[in-house]
Amino acid sequence: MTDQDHSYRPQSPDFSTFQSPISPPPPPPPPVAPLHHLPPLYQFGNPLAHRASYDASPFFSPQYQQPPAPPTRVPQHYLPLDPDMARRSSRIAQAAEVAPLPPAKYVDPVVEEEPPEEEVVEEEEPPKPAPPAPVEVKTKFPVARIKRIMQADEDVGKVAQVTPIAVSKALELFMISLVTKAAKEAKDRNSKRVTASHLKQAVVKDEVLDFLADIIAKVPDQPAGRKHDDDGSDQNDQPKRKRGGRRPKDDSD
Amino acid sequence: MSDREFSSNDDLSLPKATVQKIITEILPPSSGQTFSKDARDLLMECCVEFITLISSEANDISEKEAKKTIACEHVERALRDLGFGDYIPDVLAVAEEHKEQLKSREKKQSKMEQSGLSEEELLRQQQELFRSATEKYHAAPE
Repeated sequence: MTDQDHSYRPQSPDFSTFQSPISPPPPPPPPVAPLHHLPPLYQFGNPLAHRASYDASPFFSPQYQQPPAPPTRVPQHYLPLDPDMARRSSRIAQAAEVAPLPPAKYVDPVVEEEPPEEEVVEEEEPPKPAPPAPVEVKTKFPVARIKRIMQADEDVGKVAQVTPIAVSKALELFMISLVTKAAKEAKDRNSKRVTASHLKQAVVKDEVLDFLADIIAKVPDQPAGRKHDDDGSDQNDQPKRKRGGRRPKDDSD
Repeated sequence: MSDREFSSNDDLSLPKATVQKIITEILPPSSGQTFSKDARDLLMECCVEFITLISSEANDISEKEAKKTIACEHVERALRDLGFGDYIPDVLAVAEEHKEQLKSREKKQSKMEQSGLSEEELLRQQQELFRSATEKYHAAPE
């Protein structure tokens, strides 16, 4: 965990270039300094910078005689993302199935290959640190709760202080494995929505998960009411545009 | 569902919000997949069952060793016996991290040991400080 944290979160970024608090206060800037500061200030206030981001949009036909946006940015934007992502996620899924190794194994390539988002056009936006890897989980379970669940079994007596922490980590890995497997089941059935029956399928396939047999027994094998994409009942789902098939008439102004 | 919030049964499940957060971290919106609520509830049940399984197995192991407290080694053995050996390196790393944290915390607390001086020496220094303070106090008004 710590290693991975270090890999994308610099511990003390850029402080080396700053003066330490003990050192004497910086000398007053030479008279030339304000002139050096001017260009960046001008760029921030410059309306052209905003216009450039509009020009990059395909929905906007530029009316100004504006030179095209820097060539370094444009080709990056509309790379065909879908095939790459499909290949990548199927590779992840394969890796998860063939060898359920610790997720750290395949975190790195995902981070590196993270494609730029389609709609990112904000030039002024400061560069973000590396986006969080999909499989690395930062949220932690409450250790006290884990301990209480452990001790709900009356046979279980005292528990060392570290033990719930260790169990919590194991639980995290267990959850990653379950969710990933269920997501793969859903994908194999062309469903964007991972349902309980997908989770059940994943559990049934893995004999290590036999201890969950009682729990999954109550879940129907096949999605009962065709709970696929076309089921828009879940409020987490964003409404599908395809269903209507027609555009709203009056919104075209 | 919310009316069961205060029952003891709810206490023994995992917090929904945390579980949902973790699911979203595993399946971010960019993955194009959403995790339905029934799947999440089932997942939570599975997780509780997993905890129960591990702790019960670890408990058995510790009892065989005539230990009264379930230690990290017992969890480790339980994971291996139950087919979750893959988790062990990460689990041990986290446990080790926690031990290190405890150690450094203890060190901070025991300032006396850090000073590297014997108790007698420290006591002597303290008395000296008291004496000099008393002298200063008496000297000041005049």
